[in-house]
Amino acid sequence: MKRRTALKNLSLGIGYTMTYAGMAAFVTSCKADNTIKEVATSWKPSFLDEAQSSMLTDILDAFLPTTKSSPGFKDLNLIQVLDNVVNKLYKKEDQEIFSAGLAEVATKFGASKDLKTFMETHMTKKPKAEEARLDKLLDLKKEEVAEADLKEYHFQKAMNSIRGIGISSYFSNETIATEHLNYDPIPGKYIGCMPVSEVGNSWAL
Amino acid sequence: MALFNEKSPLEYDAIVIGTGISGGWAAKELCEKGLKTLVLERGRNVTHIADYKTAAMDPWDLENGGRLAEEELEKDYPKQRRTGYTTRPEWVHNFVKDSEHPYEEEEGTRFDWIRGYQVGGRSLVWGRQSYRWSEMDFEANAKDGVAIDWPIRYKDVASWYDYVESFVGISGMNEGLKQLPDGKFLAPMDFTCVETDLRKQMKSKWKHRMLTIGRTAHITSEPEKFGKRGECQHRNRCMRGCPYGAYFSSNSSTLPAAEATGNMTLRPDAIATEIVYDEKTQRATGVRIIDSKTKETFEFKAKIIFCNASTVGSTSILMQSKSKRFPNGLGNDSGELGHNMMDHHFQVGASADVDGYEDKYYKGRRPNGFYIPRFRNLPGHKDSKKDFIRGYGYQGGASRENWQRGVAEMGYGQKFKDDLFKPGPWRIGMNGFGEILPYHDNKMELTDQKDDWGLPLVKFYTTLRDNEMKMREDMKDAAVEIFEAAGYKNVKPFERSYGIGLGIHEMGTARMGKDPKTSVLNKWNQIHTVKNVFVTDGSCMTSAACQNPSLTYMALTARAANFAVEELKKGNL
Repeated sequence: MKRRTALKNLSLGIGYTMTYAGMAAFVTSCKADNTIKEVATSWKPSFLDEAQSSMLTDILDAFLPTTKSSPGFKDLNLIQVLDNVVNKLYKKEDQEIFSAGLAEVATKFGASKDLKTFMETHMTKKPKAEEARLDKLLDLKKEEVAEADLKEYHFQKAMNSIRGIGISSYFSNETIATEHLNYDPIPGKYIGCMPVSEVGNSWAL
Repeated sequence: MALFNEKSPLEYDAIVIGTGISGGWAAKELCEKGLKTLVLERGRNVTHIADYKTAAMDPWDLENGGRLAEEELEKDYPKQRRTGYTTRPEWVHNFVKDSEHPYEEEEGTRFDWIRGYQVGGRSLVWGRQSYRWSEMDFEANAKDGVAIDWPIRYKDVASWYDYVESFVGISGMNEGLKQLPDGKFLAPMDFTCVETDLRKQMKSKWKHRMLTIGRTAHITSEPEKFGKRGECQHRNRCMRGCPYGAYFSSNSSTLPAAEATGNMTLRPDAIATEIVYDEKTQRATGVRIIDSKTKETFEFKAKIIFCNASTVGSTSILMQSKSKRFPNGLGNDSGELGHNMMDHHFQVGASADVDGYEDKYYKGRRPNGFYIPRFRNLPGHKDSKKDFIRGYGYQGGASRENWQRGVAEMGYGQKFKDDLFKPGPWRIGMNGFGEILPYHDNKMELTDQKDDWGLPLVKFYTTLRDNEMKMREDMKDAAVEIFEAAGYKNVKPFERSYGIGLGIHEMGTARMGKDPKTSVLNKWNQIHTVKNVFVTDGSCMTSAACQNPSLTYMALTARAANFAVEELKKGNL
């Protein structure tokens, strides 16, 4: 749990945690051009190359697929957000770690029998001891990582960024927030305790 | 607002330096009492409502997902970013760039100087938690033999707390506690279901520990008493500026009141560089400023001066105001100017999972949390005594997790995704805010280095000591103890990196006292030896208590302004 919590912060480019834990909801978001579907066909990634873009779209669409109730990652062209975040918000050193990780992702993705096998292997919880080992590894700075662990270090860092940006871009997307979550920009009265049945889905903001 | 222009006079009845929480109050009180008042602000003008450009933006309206690039953060905000929240594009314009306003820290130490240079100052972005001090806070130094005694007691400020609370509008509950006096409150904000549970459990389980709702400067009822200000809409976007004027800021509240008198002239972009002292009259004659944009200098004259430039700002101005009589800074006969820097230390507490209440939720984004008032070292309660002196309170909240839990939970696919649309399990967390003692060696100095306006850079020398470190251990342990006693699961303590100043409650560097040999200000916030200069921001504090301090600054400011005008009328100033 720890390694991913820590990386939640890293993937969002935040070095420190919130002050008033319970008071200020820590909402992040990304803007996607989902309103103009045709843009998707002409859009060219800036940081990613075409192959990486297509691979990550497949991975993140398996992560957040289209369901009966809501669109999937691919439907919203959210790969654009990931490309933009890494391109514009990451500093050079973090971009280099991400790129090195992306090469590992491509190797493992290519070596997997299919997308499902890749997801099953890399997007599910591992045994406790293995999780603890990864926590420790990811706590290190790049220069502290042993040569033998470097590939795995890069891979895990990149996968955490991909997960983090994937989820935040999806749930902060305008369509998802306003049409699928509970969107109430000006709540007016605050009600501290009420039946969840009167609300339904999570609040968007 | 009546802004200063080329036709404005150079001479006034009063000058107020600074437009933040305390400067706004000084402006309002002096103008309402009929004084022609020049109000100086070093930052840009901010017009209430019209300049809150991000107030209605949703996450997807903000560029780059509402985040700044790492390189920009490192270059422009290396210190402001230490809070973790000030540098988000929705409100980063209400904080300074460290690259434009640098400062120094003694090697191996840290001071987090978080600043907002604009009309309204940090009253635009403050945490809004508003608590009275109690008798035990004013008596503490004398009883413990720490530093010097306060020259005032609770009875001296009680009626001024009433006065400012009635104007500010503070939502909260009266609880009849000795360590946290009752006040004049508007309707309290609701607890969430889990918070109500914890309040009930604490009432039955603990002798001194109780939980109340945060007392916060928001209008939650009786809006008719507050003029143009409206009721809180529970959007929790306060730091962007509130288009409803629902929370108290200088911009929404005190400056409009000052403006309404016709007595205020506001001058933004005016960096006060010096308070001018006249040896013959033993009074200050006025204030020199430098225009932050044109770098032109001006000298304004007035009968009384209120210095409300924030703790470090006011102290720097006094230090820069050197004369033959005061070679070490205005009013600094004691040598205490710049010393005794305090704050509230925090970033230590606990969090837990709460089972049950899956059928309960809430509506709205409450800009507030719960508060557990101090329960350690309460006079007359031996069982609350610990191996440190003074105490701390907790601020926290219980809410349901949202989709962000999906980052930490491994999983993927349809069910994983669809589950994230539903409210998650309940979580509770709280953070302690503890008292820091006044240590002579925790100090700020002016260096030989200069900023873009030729003014000396500030250097800080501040560290936590033994009493604070022991208190932090207890802040962690007691938080765990409270959650475990309540039967919450997976209770985990936390302690995060903290530097003095991070609480943004820096105070104490021009303290009040009875004796001019050991303090800068007297019991009326008046410089002992320069009677027409008043300092009523955080720098005046003799000890820090553990409550959020702004309400006390407001009460002391209103009290000092009332005194100043009476003295002026009597011909004493």
